[in-house]
Amino acid sequence: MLKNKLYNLLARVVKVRKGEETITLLIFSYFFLITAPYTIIKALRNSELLDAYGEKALPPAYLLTAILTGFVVVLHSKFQVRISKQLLIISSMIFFILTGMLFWLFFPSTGDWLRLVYWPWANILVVVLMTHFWITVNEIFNPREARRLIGFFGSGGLLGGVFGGLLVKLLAEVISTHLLLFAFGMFIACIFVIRAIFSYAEKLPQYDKPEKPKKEFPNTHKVGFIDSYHSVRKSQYLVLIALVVTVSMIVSTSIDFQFNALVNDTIKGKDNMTAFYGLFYSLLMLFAFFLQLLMTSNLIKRFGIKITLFLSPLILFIGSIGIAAAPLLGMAIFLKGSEKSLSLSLNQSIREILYIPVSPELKFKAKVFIDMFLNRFAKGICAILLLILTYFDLGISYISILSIVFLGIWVMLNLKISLEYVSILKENIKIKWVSGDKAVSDKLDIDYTKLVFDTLESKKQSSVLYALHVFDLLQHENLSPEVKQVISQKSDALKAFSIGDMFGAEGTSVISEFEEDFDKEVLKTDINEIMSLDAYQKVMKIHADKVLEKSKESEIEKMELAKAIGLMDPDSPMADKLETLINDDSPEVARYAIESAAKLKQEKFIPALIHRLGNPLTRGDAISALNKFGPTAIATMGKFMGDSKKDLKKRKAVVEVLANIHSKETVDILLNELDKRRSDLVTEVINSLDKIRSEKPNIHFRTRVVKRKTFLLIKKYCRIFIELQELSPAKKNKELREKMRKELSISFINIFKLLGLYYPHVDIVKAYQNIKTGTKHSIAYAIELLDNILKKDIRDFVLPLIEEHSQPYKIKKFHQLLKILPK
Amino acid sequence: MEIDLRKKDNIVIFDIKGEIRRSDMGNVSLHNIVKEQLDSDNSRILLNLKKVEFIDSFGVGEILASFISTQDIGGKLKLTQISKKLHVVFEITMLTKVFEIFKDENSALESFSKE
Repeated sequence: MLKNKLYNLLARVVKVRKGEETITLLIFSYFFLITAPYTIIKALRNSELLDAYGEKALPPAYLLTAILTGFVVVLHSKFQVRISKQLLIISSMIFFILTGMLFWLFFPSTGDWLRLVYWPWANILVVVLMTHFWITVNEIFNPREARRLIGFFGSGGLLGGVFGGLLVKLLAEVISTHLLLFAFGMFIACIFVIRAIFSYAEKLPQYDKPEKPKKEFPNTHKVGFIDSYHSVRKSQYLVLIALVVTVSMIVSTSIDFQFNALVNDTIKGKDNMTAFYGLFYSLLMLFAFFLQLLMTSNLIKRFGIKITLFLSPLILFIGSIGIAAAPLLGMAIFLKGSEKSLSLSLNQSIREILYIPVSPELKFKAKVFIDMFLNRFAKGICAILLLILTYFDLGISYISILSIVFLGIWVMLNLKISLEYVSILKENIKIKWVSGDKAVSDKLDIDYTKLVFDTLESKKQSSVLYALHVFDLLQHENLSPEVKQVISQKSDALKAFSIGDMFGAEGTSVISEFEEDFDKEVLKTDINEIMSLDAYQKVMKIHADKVLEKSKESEIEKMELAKAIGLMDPDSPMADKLETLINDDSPEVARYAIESAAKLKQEKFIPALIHRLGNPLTRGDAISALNKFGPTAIATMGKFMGDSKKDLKKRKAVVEVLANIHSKETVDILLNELDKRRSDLVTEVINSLDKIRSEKPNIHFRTRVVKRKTFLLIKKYCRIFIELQELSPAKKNKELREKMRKELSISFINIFKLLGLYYPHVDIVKAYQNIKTGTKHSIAYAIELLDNILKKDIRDFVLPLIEEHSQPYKIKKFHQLLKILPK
Repeated sequence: MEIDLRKKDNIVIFDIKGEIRRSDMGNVSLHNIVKEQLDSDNSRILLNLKKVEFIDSFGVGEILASFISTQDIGGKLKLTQISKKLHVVFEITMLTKVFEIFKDENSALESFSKE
């Protein structure tokens, strides 16, 4: 009941799903309870230091932070490999509460040096707490879930900042450093929230947990610093992320210096400064909160990650130009405000999205190095640069130029990372299966196998048929000894009139006879020459006429005839008999005739072959024969396929044949059929186009036609989905329901097959297969891949079909899609 | 190629020796000799190929032409003692379906007498 209320409440502001409401709220509170106290600690950090030493103390403070953070990282990584995440996070929190209490105790009585110690302590605190927070999020949610909820979690942090800032503004002048007590109180509350989060995580069903590390990563959840460094170094993509983090941190530090220097120049008095910082951070967080709530998701959704990446450096570039020209507090507030609010909202979300294609194990490892070390290292580098610039008394304008240079580098790195992102997403998901016929055809020479079986069968039928088969088989270069042996064993039925019997050579191997006594090429030439003789054609015609006159009892003779014609010249008079044999009532006779037609490849046989597609017993042979005709059969088959008055089964089979003739002409014929207002061959045509695309990726498909059909199928999918949900659950509708479900599934796969015609086929196949059968993670990667490779015009219609949502939401969304889908 | 003719029970038996090939054909061909016999009202012919060492497609053509000529006048041309190789060639070309082929001369002669 309470959970339902909570769900309904949260569902209004975030795309939360049933069952996620409690953990979502806990994570939101976790972030709130670390940012609110941190904002208090930070405001005091700035004002205490500036009041004691002025802005010149900032570069050494940055540097000291960087160095000390290095030690903390090493120490942290040592603890991390030894203790559980929960224990590490809670004990860190207790450590900061206890040490913080010491600052609170000694601030009034100790000299200025304590401010210099307090500065790095506050910075280390935020690094450790933030890292722990994101580690917790990654532990509980998969990338896709995290992406959906990240905006809401971020808002928790930003609200915490607003709350903390307001407390400072209101109380700074009254209680000054006693504000720290509020901060520690909130940290204590946070410990209980963390405990609740991990208790919740322990109850998660197995499938909801992040994938277990594989054997090659036996202890990936406990990562050492060196291990973390190497994992970043080995991945070009992670190196790029690391560089972006470094450069953005240098820019951020430089902007922080410019801002604090101008605050120190403009605002006098420690408590005034503390109050200013309180108000500034509060308003900053408020602005960032609205930015996060109202714009971040929309910006990323609308422009995609590739464009949004450039927004921050562009705005900061404008601000830096402004401050270089007019170094005033107002300009500094704009620059610092933009930098911080973007970094807390957009940049944070982008950074987490950039980690999506990285496996959870690798991401966890990399984050230790990037977030905990590199961030501070960059700050150290910037501190040294600032020390140099301030040593030479160069003003704020020069420091702005430093920012501008690094902003240029940032843009270039973003350019590279945006390209890497999609390619690494593609690498992350694998093909789950290959199509059945492709798998068979890759591994098996079907024609050869069939011939071997037919040869064996022919032994029982007649010596002529057997000889014809053996002759045919001998044309194959790679006749294995095993096959030779099997074929040479004589059958009892053949004894009466076999070649062996005739010469009293019981048990003689026919194959051996062939191979020992004949030069294969000479034999082939002799046979061809004999069959080309007018005299031969004349006597055989008489024989054929006699055989064809007879009815069923001459089946074997007809088979012999059909097989022999396949060895003759295509223009020989005997070839004319083939059409009659193809149409013979006996499927066996027809089969041999079809095979011979495929050898002779005369266009006049095509209609008879198409006719044979209608008979299930000869369908496969007719398809195979037409395939061998290749491009010469396209026009006749295209005409047949397009004629709706013809038999539907045969037309479907023709489409299947066309799929094996990979030419532009075939594609055009199939697309014309697809483009018809009404076609009863939609699925067959799509399957064939998909097959051609997978075999010949370079053939161009008319995108306009394919896209139009994609939209039509999406419409169909939405309609069926809605109708299915609205269908009464009564028993009488069971059959209809099944039918609709089947149609839904066919439409779904057809949409993907069409997408594969104008987007990289392998990527679409990977995405589809992972959506249908993958794990929760691979589904998330697949959707992410589609999100990145599909253009907006199609993405906005395809993703709603895939993304997991409640049925009422889907119905509402599909109604919307039906309204806006192109006519 | 050498051809010896003998007659038995009104059947002309052709004892053929050597090779029946295009290059070895002189002025006289098997078909011509068969035609001569047909012209002399000898319409029952048995080709004994026991001593034929080699026969090429031309040779098969000669036998086929002889067969057709014999058929045309309502006669009979049969074969005996053909080599293993030739039998294989005849099976592949389906000529075993057209020609009457016998293991030995006696059974061939017997078949003529039964008609």
